[in-house]
Amino acid sequence: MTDVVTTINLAAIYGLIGVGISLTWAGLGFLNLAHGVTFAAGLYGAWWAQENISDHPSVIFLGGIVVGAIAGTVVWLSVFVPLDGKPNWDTRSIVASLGLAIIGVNTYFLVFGPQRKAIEYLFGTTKFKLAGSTITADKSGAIISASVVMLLVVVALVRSRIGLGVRALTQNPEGAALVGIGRRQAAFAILAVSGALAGFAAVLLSQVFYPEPNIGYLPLLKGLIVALLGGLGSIPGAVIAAFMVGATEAVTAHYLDQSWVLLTQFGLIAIVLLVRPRGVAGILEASRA
Amino acid sequence: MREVLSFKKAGDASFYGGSLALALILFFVVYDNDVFGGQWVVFSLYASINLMWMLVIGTAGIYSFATVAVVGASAYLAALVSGGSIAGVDLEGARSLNVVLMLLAAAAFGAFLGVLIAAPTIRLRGVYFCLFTIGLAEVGRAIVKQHELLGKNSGLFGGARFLRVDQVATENGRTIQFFVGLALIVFCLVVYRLVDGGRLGLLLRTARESEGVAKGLGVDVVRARFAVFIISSTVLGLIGGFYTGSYGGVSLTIFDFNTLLLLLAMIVVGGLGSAKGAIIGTALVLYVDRTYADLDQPAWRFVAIGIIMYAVTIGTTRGLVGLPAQIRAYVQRRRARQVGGEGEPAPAPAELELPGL
Repeated sequence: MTDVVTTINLAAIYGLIGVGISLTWAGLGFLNLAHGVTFAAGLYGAWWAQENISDHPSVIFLGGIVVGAIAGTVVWLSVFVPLDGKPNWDTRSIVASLGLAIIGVNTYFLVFGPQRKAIEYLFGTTKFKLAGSTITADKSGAIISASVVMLLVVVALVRSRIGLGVRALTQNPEGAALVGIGRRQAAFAILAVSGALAGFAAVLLSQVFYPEPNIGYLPLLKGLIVALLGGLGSIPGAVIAAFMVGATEAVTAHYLDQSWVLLTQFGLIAIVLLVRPRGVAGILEASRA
Repeated sequence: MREVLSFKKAGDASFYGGSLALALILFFVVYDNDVFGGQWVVFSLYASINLMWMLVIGTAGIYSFATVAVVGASAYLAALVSGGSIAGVDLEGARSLNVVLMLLAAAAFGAFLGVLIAAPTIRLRGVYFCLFTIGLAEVGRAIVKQHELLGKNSGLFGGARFLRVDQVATENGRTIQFFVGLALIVFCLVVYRLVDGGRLGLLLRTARESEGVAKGLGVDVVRARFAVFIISSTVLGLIGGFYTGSYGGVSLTIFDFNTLLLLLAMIVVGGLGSAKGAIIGTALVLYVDRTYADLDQPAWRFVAIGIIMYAVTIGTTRGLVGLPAQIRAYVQRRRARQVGGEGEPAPAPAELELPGL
């Protein structure tokens, strides 16, 4: 039971990161390698809010989400705006985001130093029993809040006007342009929202991933795994992949050791991608391959 | 063969001739300087890796991130078979090969890894393959980190070296290191020109632009991709052997993601798809890296590299190597507009449209 809860917990959080990467690729053809730095920005934002404003959980969450969204906007301004429509957009956008990530990580070093910061337990330290296993408030709170946020993202994509634009972009960029959907506005929405999601996920993971300069690398890797395994552009695919990744991590950590986790996860990727080269539910085989 | 190796443009001949002359002048001016000797070894290894990586990422248009991992794995094998061991532990076995056999073993292992990396290209494309190779590199690092025989975090040292102990940090030793490094770069340049300028390069570029069209023309895309991976990985394996031969061993840092980023920055800054770009990018980024390395805050060097990488990507379409053509075209367009907008505007420079992921 403990493994199941850990799986759901990790899946919910990795799903948030993966969906951001997935939407950015599907909608804009942009593999955002600065997403890890955005994640770290969210962590630092939450920590800063806790130290300078209040240590109330809502303030900490808000700090993470707002700074994450701002970091996403910085990516939009510094990568998307100057490069969109230019030759070699695919390659140059990736490299520019990588350059931005290198600058970001090392700026964190210079500003905050290499020391880890600590963030308070956001859902308290209570524990309860479920089917004979002890569940912490931290895990259950993360599962519930991440699921609610994911649901809100899906609803926004289905119901809102900007969500409609984003979906149109993911399905047919040329068609979306023909019917007057503004690519720049949609890009702003996608990058700001995926930044906010990364910031939110960062706060949820703050008891495992402490604020430190290099902390974004692993979440970026997990987010990429989830996004690619799920099939770029597919939210249901990302959710399924997040569960697969979370389950692999939980089972590996339980039966082997935490140091084997990446190894088994890449083993999983190798198997899934060799069987289904476009991931669990790839919907963009023709347009983005 | 002669056609492939001949210089296509006068600019190429003057670039390579000038670079060789500059390297020789630098060497004879400062060959008594230990720092220069050390930097030269790093430059020769990085430039050689980048030339081979350029074949995969530039000519074939395949985003493989397992390049440094192949060098690292081969360097480990070279250290292992030539007598390297964890400090204080004497591992028994049929090892202690000499330098030449060590290099051959490393190259053969590189070729084997090339087959392993190439196999998924049959099924995987673009970012999927990119992630797969990042995974392979992580697997390599995890295996080394957990295996006692490979030294875990300490690395393997005491393998075969190009220099005897009494030659280290002497003028004689630096001279040997200089010419060994130069030979490696020249060898990699020849391999690059043979592949990129030959039939295989043509097939790979055709497949890069459109796999469907290439198949329609009868190109065996899978075979061409296997060929480029095996050739580049064999040479990368050899470079791994040179790594061990230069340092007497290898440690886990070779698998660092930062090392990969540094090499990628070199390729991108110089210009994707060009050997000149690989050389220029390596020299520039390494210069910045080493200039800032001595500061109190080493993070500044990565900030500087990140800024260069970002600025070059935003400001140029083909890296520094394509900048002169870009400026010429810009000036021509401006002149055409100033004339009064009459007549045909100057054409844009020939863009190297790199394949999308």
